[in-house]
Amino acid sequence: MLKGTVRITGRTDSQVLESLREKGLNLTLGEARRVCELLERDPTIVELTIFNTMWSEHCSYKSSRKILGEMLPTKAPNVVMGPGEDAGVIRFAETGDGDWHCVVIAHESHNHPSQVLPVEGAATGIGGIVRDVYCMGADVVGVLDPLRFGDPEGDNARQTMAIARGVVDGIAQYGNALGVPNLGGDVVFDRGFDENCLVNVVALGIVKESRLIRSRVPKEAAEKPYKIVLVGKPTDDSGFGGAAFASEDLAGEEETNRGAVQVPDPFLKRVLTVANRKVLDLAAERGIAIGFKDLGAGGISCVTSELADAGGFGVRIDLDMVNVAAGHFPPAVVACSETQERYALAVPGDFVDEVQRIYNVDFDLPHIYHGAGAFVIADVTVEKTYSIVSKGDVVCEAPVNVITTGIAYDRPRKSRRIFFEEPLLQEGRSLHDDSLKVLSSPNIASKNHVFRHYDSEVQGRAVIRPGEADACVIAPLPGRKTGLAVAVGGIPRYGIIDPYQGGALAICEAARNVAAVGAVPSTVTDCLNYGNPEKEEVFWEFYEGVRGIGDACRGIGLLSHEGHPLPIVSGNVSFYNQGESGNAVPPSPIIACVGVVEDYSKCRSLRFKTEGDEVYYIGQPLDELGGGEYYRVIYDTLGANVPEADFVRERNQIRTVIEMHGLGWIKACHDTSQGGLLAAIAEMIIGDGKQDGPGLVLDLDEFLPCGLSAEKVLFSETGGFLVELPPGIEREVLALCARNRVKLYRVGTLSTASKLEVISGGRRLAAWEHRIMREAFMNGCRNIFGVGKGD
Amino acid sequence: MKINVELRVRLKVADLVAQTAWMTLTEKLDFAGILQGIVRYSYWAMDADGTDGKSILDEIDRVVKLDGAFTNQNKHCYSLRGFMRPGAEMDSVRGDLILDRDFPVIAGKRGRSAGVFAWDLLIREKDGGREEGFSSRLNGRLSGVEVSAMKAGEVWRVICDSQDEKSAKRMVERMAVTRSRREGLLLNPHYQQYEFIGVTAVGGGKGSKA
Amino acid sequence: MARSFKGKVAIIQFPGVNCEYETADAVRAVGIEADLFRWNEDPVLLEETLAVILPGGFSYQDRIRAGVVAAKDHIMDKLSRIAAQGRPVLGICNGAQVLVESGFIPGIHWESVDLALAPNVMADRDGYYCDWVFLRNEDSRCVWTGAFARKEVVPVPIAHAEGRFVTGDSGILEQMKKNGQIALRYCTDRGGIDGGFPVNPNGSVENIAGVCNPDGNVLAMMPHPERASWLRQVPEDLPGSWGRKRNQASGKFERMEEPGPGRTFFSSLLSIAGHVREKSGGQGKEAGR
Repeated sequence: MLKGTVRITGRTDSQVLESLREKGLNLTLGEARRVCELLERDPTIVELTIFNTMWSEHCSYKSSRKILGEMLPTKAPNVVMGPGEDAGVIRFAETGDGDWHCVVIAHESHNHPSQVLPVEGAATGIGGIVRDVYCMGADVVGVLDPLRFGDPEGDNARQTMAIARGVVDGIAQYGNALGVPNLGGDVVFDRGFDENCLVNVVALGIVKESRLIRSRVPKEAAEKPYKIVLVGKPTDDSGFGGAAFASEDLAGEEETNRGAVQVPDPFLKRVLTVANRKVLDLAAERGIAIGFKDLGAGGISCVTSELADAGGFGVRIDLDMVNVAAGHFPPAVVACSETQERYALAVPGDFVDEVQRIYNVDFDLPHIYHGAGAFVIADVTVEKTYSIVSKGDVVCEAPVNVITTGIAYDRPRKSRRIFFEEPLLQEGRSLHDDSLKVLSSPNIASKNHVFRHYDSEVQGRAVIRPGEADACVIAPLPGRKTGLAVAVGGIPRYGIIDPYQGGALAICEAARNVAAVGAVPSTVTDCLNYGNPEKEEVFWEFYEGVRGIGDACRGIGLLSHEGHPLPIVSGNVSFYNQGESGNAVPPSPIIACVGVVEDYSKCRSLRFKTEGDEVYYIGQPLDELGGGEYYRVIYDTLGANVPEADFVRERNQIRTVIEMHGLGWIKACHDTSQGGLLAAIAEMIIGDGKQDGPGLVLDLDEFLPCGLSAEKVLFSETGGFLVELPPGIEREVLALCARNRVKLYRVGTLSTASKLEVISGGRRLAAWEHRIMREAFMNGCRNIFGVGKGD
Repeated sequence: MKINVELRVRLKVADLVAQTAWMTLTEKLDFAGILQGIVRYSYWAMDADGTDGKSILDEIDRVVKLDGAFTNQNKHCYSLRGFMRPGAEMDSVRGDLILDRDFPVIAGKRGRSAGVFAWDLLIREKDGGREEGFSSRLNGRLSGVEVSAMKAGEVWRVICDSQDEKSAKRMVERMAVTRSRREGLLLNPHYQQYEFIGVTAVGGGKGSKA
Repeated sequence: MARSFKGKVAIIQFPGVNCEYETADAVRAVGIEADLFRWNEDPVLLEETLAVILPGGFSYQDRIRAGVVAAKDHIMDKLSRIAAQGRPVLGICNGAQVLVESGFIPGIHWESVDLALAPNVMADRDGYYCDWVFLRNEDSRCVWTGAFARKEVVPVPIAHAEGRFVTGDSGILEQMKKNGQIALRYCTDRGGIDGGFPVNPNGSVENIAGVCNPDGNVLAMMPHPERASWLRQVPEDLPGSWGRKRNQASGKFERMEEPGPGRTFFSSLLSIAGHVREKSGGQGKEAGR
């Protein structure tokens, strides 16, 4: 019998359960018994702790895996690596010598930790996601943060604002210090997040295909001895139980979660990043095959078992070789702790000394952080056994594929029936005032106060920055035209009315955003944020959202490769997003889309540029204001008519806009969604607030064929694009739109007047001076993020 | 009645800033052997007006526990103390940080020393614009208590091996006030001001309130 | 193979800095070789370096005070001698904070800390602030601004939380002005000096953005010229002549790859590089590669 064996076989259910809870384990009874079956004996406490982590929702995707596998397209000609490893990889640009520059992308949530400790939670989120990209051998070139907070004017306003500020601060503290530019993201406020915020993080990296590093022990380990080197912060218990923590309801008393939140250290991470680069370059230079993986949930046990299993090897770990922080930690804690800022490398024995010298001497890790460094903790074995030794005792021993074997559930689902209703529109409302209310709504207003808190300039690659257009663009390859565009999408209020549309529209919006700067949507990632999957209606929301995402990916497709879907290469599922009341957050699939730009110099900001240019609307406003900002701000209601994703229309519109960019026609482009046509036009006049654009007279008579009232035309959230084109090409524009079968409306001609006017039947409905719109738009979020801070 | 209230907050997890100060003072500046330990607190002091000392402290305690701008109990411990007049502590103290036991000596050389003294050095920005903000933030949340004359800053508790209290103070001043590349670390006098707000004899010697 | 910095610009890589790579690229773009020098390498390597740049970032994570911990590092002994010899030294952002905390700047009393880069004071916000600002090249002896026109307006981004130049000694400020040490001031896109936010983005005294030592070879500046070294880096909607230039280059890749406004800080080195090459009898030729 191994040391520390826990008796399960032969004991009653209640005895087993009591024993599990007493040890702080979340395994279900069935899962505990399954462990015994797999091992063919009673497990040790270390083994139980490992399975507890590996079978958490976060690591195992036990509720979601089956549905994701069935519904989501992950293969396309540009995909190098789909879901499965830490990050997804697509081909981006040819190097010219037979190789490819690739984009590496990862997307995760850090919701619960950010609710409890906003600064550290959000910072650790960045810290974790960049590790996923670094460990593929890539250089991280940007991070994005889709954020969802509660209602800043609601019952829980104080906590909401404290969390929002803390999260933004945490992102800034980590990302700015690490030296990774922030490429935006989005911020949405809704009372559905009052008790549980969503903090998603996306990281992007660049690497040559030939320099991609896999998270596995290389096959060369069959020929010569390989070691596992653990590098980074000394292991402690600060994150212990973190992975399990993401699978529980957020209890009202935050106390219960103490100790589960990890302490981030961007300083150590920066030094590690520079040192890693030296090690990887040296290995590449010498042609030494290595494996590389970051430590996240599950810590040492997870990283070593996955490295070994993926390569087809076993591993023997000596826990006494692990550098631990001051304190006394039992073997189960050392094996499974989630201590931040650590990586594991699989390197040949004769390369170990050099690796250790780079970390421990050249970059002096022991002085950068007390107790940090690179240490050999394990031998790779040809025999496929996973074993852990502590103080001379074997505390875990099993075939390695038993450790990494997953667990899956078929969760039942049941559609929910809620009756949604359109509001009765009031006669005689002031369009002037209502529009300003929409413009200053925190969901529409400028996020300048957030973005200016982040460093978007570091690395010197920025072409389009957060707030300048619908997507950010960087020029990541020195001297090359190829640009990389990235944006996110996901409006929670759509998903409340219809979770299928919530998923589908998130894809449409993200794809539209990158197309607006002229990029071809080339891959997406999904982070699926939902409530408790054991509740049938929540699981139905999840199922519908995934179905919508899958349909949209196939429907919009990969424009660079006809007949292929827009592939999903990475993602994350976050369940149990609910607060004390038990109410789940609005179904929130959040999508990040990467677009490839042929020539970055053609990417334009969304601000109107030149008097005399023509403004067109590409699209078709429908009676689709449900879940939209106009209904929320003016009628405090959801409505019922959520936009219905029409994939053919979206695809055609996206293609049209990309073609117009390619032809060099587009001077400014902006998609219409949240806040509709009017908000989009106002935003194109204001830009990022530095310099007003020209004025415009919007004649609603042009939109008479839509058969909608003025409010509905102006605030419909049907997806489309506004474009500024030079005069004199009307015929070509019409021909292009006809060829692509998209609807086109002429909005007006840009003028020198510093105002926006809306007319109908020759009568002026409203007019706004630029200054008035700018004040509403630029200051809408000031109370939330500015100093003075709405106390 | 009006009392003087002091709030100190310290990290429960490792304070990397204090660790860096320690390493810089002992390895890059010549204070190895003299510096025995160093602790950092966030600090607020204010006048508080209310019905009686106990209820004033209870009310402030309630607010600072809830407001993340002062403490987040997931990572901080704190001490809230009331004084009837400067220097005279009340018998009621709130919080989980016991200040008169918070003397972590990192390097011990007690055998040979005349004494080990812990000086508390308060550092504040000269144009304390933020202090106003803390006052209004507190007053916006307090009921039946009003605070004024807010002082906010950082307190370094510097533990020194020294002949006596006075020479320990001179030593702390040398560690703190940055005059040149080789002198001083903890504050830059061009925008920060400092004052000693207390001393405790930790081993040998005799301490008193400054 | 021994490393050499002869004829090169050494970019000092303190732990935690994060702008070292793009700063090296910006130097190379003017035809001068640049290489990274890790903080704990042998200072002897820097013996013949052409110039030294302390790049931006967060050395020692800005613990205690931005720049102060790096200022106490042993490598600063060597940099002190290099600066005192009159070789060019540039501190950008965090590098500027290191130079101020080392007393190289203002350097009237060498190594005496006579200035501070204090936390930003801004309308409506606090902490870290990242945005484009405009600088005016002031009349000074600074070698790093030597290639700018008199009173030229230069848009460059800033990104910092502690960038407010301040001194407790008004005599120092007067001396700095008398010595021609105020190299750069924050200004409007037309060159006007307006003390309010956001023209003055951090509340710096007299809009000071960059200060050189009395000899003019050492410059501490908060803005990041390496982030404005190519036209493509300039935001399209930036007011002023550089914004217009950027706007007109849209769709023209070759023009976008042309120099940006910050390039001139680095090309100012060319006259020095030439000077050094002459003095060393042509040995520094490889410097231009």
